[in-house]
Amino acid sequence: MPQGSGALLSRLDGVAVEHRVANEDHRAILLARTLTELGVAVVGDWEGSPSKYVLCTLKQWIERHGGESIRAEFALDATLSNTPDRYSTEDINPARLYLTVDPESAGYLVVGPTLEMLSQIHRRLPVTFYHLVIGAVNRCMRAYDYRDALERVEMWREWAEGEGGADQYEIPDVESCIPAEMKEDPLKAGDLRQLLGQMQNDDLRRLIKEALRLDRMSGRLQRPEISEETREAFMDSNPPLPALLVSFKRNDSISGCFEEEGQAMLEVSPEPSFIVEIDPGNAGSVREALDALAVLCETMAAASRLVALLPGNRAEGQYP
Amino acid sequence: MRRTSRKSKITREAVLGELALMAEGRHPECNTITGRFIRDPELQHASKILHDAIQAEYYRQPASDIMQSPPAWLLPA
Repeated sequence: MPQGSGALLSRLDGVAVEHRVANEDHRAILLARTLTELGVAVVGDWEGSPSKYVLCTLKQWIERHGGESIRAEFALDATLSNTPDRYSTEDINPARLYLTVDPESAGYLVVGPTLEMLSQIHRRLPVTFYHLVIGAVNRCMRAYDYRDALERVEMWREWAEGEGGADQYEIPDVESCIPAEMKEDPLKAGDLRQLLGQMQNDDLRRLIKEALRLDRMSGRLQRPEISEETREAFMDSNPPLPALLVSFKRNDSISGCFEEEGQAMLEVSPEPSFIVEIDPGNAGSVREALDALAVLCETMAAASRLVALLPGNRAEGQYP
Repeated sequence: MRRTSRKSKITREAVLGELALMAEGRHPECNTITGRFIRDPELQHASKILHDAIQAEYYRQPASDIMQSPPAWLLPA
């Protein structure tokens, strides 16, 4: 202390003036032990902190199951927490951890040009392809598409009726931006296989094969049962945030509805897109959570690779 | 440098051993003063009683009257 002020503070020689400790949750310790026993954690990553060790293991698990591919088209965030709701700090069960995956922003898929090319091969191929791909993504994470937009428009119309008539408001025309082929029935699996065998265009054949692969992959996803207390935590929540916006043309009415609806998506905390409860000391529970996460990651990675292949869908950054 | 050598020598058993000590609160890191405080509800309770007593006394009497100030002590403003 500089001299000359005329006043001195008493000295605290030998007394620690500050103590710091990283408080390790007992659940992190249990989970670190279970991951080590299962052989999932790499012991070389152990630096004395269970939570860092668990985090490192989770990151490696995601990388092993397609993390890099996912990041090319999607901005997803995996969280391991003592609370199921990332927007709340309430610890509803002191024996449990929650693994959640949510989008930080939505990827953007413009599917129109692909559907147009597919329609030249068979009139029912576009709708078949669409439902294979978007259905697979929807099994893992929410995809916002023309069906959400139509629902939103219907809500606006009802609201406008009560406010003096829909003709007084500018409501997006979603119906007109849906290609006519989308009204066809999807092909049955056998018919699609037969068509695939006859296809001459290698690029389009590859797209269909990848879509079928994606569909099979997503079918493996087993979402573990969620307890009543966790379900209750999301009773008043908004729907999950979309991980993907699908429109037929860039900046069409579907994108407009998404943008409008997006303003209110976080007004109430949303349900997690993917949630698994983990009993950290139970190897079966931990294994089940990791397996579900692996399928989710592999499906999203395959979706990301497929999105990159689609003609007319050059990445222009994440949709806000 | 030390971390690298630790990484190369660490075994599964050693990690499980450390984790077992942590789970039981016997790991050296749990035995620091704050580590003990965090784990011990009685210490936390005692600290709360002491804190409340000082607060109550502070409002009853001027702060400087609680105890005699040490020589050269700069009183709080």
